[in-house]
Amino acid sequence: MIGQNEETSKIKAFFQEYRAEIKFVSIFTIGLVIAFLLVNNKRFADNFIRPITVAETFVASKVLNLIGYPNRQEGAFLSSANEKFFRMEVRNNCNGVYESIVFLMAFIAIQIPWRRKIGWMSFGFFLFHVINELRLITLFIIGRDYSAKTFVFFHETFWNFALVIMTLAIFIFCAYQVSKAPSSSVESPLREADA
Amino acid sequence: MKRAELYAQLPLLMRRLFTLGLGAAIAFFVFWYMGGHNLWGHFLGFCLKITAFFYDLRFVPGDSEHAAILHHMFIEGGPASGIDLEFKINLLSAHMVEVVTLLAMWPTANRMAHLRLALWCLLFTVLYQTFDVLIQLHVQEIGPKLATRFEVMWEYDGSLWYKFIRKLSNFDKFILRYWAGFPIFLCALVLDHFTSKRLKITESGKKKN
Repeated sequence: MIGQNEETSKIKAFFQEYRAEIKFVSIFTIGLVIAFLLVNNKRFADNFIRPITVAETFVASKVLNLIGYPNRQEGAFLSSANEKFFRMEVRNNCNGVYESIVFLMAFIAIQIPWRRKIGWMSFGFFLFHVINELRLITLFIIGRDYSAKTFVFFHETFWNFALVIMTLAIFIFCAYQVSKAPSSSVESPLREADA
Repeated sequence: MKRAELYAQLPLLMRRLFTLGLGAAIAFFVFWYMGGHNLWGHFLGFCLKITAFFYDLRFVPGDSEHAAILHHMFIEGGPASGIDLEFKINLLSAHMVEVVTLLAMWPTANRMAHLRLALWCLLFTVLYQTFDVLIQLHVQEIGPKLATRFEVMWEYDGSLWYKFIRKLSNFDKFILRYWAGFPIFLCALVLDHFTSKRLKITESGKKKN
C-alpha cells in the first residue's frame, strides 16, 4: 500500500527529474499547434504554401525530364508526355511542409543554444526537402510504370515511414552530438538553454 | 530507467533503430499486408463497439485498400436505406509502425518490462485510433461533402462546433495520423515509469524512495 504523500512525492520527483523534457514536450506541442493553424489557414496556404508546392513540382519535373521520364508540369500537376499516360497532383500534404513543421518544432523546442542547433536544423530541413523531391520523383515513375496498388503502397506507407525513420535518426544523432560536445553535460543534452 | 541512463544509451538507440527497429518495421509491414490489417480491423471494430457504443460501427474486411470501418447513418433527403461512411483501416498503419519500431529499439530491463511497455502501447494505440476513427467519421457526417454527394441541401451555419471539429480532424489527418506513434509511445513510457515503480514496492512489500 502506498500512502498519498509518497504518491505525490513520486510525481513531484518525476517532474523535477524530467523538467527539461517536459518543457521540450510543452514547447513542441504548443509550437506545432500554432504552426499547424497557420499552415492550415486558407489565405496563408494560397499565398505561401501553394508556391512551395508548385516549386517542388517544378524541380521534380526538371529532374524527371533529365533522367529520361518526359513530362509536363502545370502548377502542381505532373503529366507524362509520352504514350504511357499518367497524371499526378502534388497536394498540400505531399509537399513536405507538414513533416517539416514537425521536424523544425522539435528543434525549436530542444533546450540547447541556437548557435549549436541552427546548423543541424538547417541541414535536416534541407535533407527533408531533398528526400521529399526523391519521393515525388519515384512516385511519378511508379505511378507511370507500375500498378495502382504499388503506387498506393509507396505513397501511403513506404515514403511516410522513410521520412519518420529519417527524422528519428537525425534527432537521435543531434541529441548525441550535443551530449558529447565538450561544453555540455554528458547526461543531459536537453538541459536548460544557456542564458 | 533513470534520465542519465537514458542519455547514455543514445548511440545504442541509433544502432538499434537501423537493426531491431527497421527489422521490426519490415516484419510489421509484411504482417499488415499479408492480412494483418483484417485481424487488426476486427480487433479495433470490437474495441470501438465498447468505447464508441453510441455509434453504429462495423468492420468490413477486404484487401489493404478496401478494408474499412463503416458507420451506417441516415440523412434527410438521402437514400431511404441509409448510407455508409467509411474509414479505411490502412490509414492506421503509419503510426502503428512507429510504435512497433520504437518498441523494438527501446532497451528495457527484462522481457516482462518490455511486455508491460508493449501492453501500455497497445492501450494508447487503441485509444488514439478510437479518436481518429470517430473524429474522421463525425466530420464527414456533419460536413458539406456528404450533402453534395447525395445532392441534398446542407445548411452551413458556420457553427463553432463544425469549425473546431474540421480543424481538429485536419490536424489529425495531416499530422497526428503520421506521427502519433511518438506521443503514444511517450504516454506508454510515462505510465510504465509510474506503474513499474509501484510494482516494485508491492513485490518487496517495502516502501522505497
